Amino acid sequence: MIKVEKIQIEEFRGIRNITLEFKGKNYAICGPNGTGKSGVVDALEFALTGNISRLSGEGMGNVSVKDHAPHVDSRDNPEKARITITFKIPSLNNKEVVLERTVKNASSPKITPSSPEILAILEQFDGHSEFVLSRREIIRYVISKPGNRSEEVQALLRLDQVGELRSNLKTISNAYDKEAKDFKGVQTQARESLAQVLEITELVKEDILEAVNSRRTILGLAPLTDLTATTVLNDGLESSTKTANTTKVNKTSATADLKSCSEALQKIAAETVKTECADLRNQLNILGSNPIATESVSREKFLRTAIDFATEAICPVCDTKWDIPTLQSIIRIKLEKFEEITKTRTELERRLEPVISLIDEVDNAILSIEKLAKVLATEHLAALSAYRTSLSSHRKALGDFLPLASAISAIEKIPTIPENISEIIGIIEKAVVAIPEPTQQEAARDYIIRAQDRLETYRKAARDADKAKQRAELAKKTYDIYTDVSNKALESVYKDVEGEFASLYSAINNEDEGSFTAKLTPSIGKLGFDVDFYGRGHFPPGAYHSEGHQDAMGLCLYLALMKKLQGSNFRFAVLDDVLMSVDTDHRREMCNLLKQQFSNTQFVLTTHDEVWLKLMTTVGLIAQGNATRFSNWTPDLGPVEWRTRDVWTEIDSALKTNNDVHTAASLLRYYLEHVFREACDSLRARVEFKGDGRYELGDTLAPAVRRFRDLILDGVKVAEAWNQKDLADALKLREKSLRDSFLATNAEQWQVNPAIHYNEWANFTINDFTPVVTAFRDLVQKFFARSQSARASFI
Amino acid sequence: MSKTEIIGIKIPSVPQQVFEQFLKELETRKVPEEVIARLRKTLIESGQISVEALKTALFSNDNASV
Repeated sequence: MIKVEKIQIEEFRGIRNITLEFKGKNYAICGPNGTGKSGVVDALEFALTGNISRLSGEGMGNVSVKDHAPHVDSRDNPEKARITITFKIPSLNNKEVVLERTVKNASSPKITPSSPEILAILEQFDGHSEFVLSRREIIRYVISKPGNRSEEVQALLRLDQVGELRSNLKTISNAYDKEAKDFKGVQTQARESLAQVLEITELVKEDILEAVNSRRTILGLAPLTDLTATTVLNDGLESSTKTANTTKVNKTSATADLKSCSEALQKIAAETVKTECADLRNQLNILGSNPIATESVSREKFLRTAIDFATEAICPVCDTKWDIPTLQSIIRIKLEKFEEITKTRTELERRLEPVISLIDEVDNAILSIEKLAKVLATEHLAALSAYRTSLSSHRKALGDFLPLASAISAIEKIPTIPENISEIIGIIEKAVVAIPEPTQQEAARDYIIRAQDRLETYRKAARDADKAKQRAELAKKTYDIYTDVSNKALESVYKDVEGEFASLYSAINNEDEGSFTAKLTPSIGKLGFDVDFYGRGHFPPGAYHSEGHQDAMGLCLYLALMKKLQGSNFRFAVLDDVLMSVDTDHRREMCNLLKQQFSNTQFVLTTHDEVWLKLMTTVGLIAQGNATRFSNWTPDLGPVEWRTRDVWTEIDSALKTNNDVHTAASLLRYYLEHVFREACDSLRARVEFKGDGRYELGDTLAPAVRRFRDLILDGVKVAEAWNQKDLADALKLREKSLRDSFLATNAEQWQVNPAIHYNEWANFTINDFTPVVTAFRDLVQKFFARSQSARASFI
Repeated sequence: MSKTEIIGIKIPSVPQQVFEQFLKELETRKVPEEVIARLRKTLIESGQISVEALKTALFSNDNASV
């Protein structure tokens, strides 16, 4: 992992040009809403991943990184939107690396120096923006639906592959189960066909041997003593007579074939089949008329295939870089939408299975008739063949299910037997009746030849069915074992996270929830999350806990997950205004927690709350000087950041070089607001309280000066009490100097009409405004008398 | 060499841990050795989990008739 030393942001989001020095340590950015804090967060995410998740996530419509990441004035120049971060890699002897990424070439950052080791470390960020946590994510972890939470947490823990393997093994198991059923059906038909030729009802060894041996005796062949897997029923027949005479029809078997065919056709044309087919047609029509269903059945397979392909860093079609977890998440959400439709489809497929078996039975029967027609009625071969072709086509349409139109068309035609087929069968029946009765020997020879032929067919079908069954069993066993193992493993992972989460949350709520516990309960596709509520039981976090507690839970769950995911590699995280609802005491505890338990992790924190920033500094989470304050924001300038700016030089430059009173006035106004707010805070000045916490210059200037003067005068009294006359005189001079400087600013007049005061500066001429600048510069210097510069460094 | 090995700290990912446990469990449940070997190569060495790759690993090319 990395430690960020510095980030330079140019023409990106609301920022024109800013450089922040993190120095590899925790860093805080404070500012009111809309001052550009999130722009820095976006810049960090973009620099490390090439993406901004809040611009590319679900529900963002036409907003995109490419079009909307550049500053609004540079939207046509994405090459100008540039982030440069300098970072060190602790595991590579603190090697310093510079990464530069522009919106134009978001997928190909410039990395200096570059080596396989450095690239491997940066690859860990690729497609994984979880190092950035905003309050939006917190809500998703804590109070989302179990199904959504499961996805969020699985994505964070990079468990996608665990679920994907399970899904793929299930697909394979289902496919082989279906194959085994198909082969079993073929075996059953071959068995029935063999029994029909043998003229017995059950394929029992003794009955078979008895039937075959009675024919063998007629032919003068030795009886078979056993029936094994290799027994040949026509063993001993002269080789020239071992095969069926294709130019001659055996009357007995032909009659049986005709009977079987007649029965099969009666079955498929039965009223029950017609009713079932009509109902299936209606159900398929309903499914087809629902646009979502149509999308589902037509896209489900595509989406499942898409998940298979969404494992590479780039699209295999157009080579565009994509965010794998986001893409997979989108695909899974779409598949979930199809869940109900999928259930309907599965049920319909189940009902179609017997219809398909019936088609197979008729096809098999017509095949026998086709063989008879080759000898007895060749002129009808084409019609029989055409019927079999149509049966095959219907079977495929129903088996494939998609497109639905083909399945609907097929199911309508199943019970209808073409009229010419019945006629042809009648013609062949007559022809068979006309065949002279065979001699006893001819009948016996034909019997054992055909029986052997059907026995071979049955043996092959049985072998195939057995292999298919073994494949199905192995696929199911593998799936079952994996499900068992992955469930246990995930339970263990969640148990660890659950314990860590409870420990972290207890640490910041030790006063009243020291014995807090939590339960993460995984089930297929869902992750339940219940927390202890003051010993009254376990409930969802949103049930009884306050919003502030929920925020704290979200952060603790995130930290627990990151600890599980990255262990000691958890070195960098951005917490974007995540504790806005948490009170001061708990924030202090949270600061202590981050400082003590995550001492190797560099946090970049943003907040709109000055008090929270102070607290972070006081507790030592943020080192002195490692924070910045955005005072305001304008489209032209971006965030105004005081700490690193020499404001007086900038004001002089605006006035003297650019003749720009507007810019100078704006700078002066915001800078003075910042300085005197800090002065009030440092001197503990009494300021009229404002509920919204937005103190303007008119609110802080006079109290700061008044308090400072009072403190100096107190000093005079003390000095005099201790007979320190020189010191007392010096302090008196300083008080007078401060008072004079304050009067020079004309600030007292503003109190008469604070609504206009400094807002009018922008309308001044340079000559009018320059004395104002001089007066305030002098006043500010009085507050920082020991410093050569008037630059504030309160932080 | 995995990413974690490159940076000198070997922490198997959760999926890696699950896959290893899965292969061990297959051994104890008497799944044929050659199947386990093919699955190991596919899941661990090649990092593939697609349906086609898994079919081949389970049944080999000659025996995967579906």
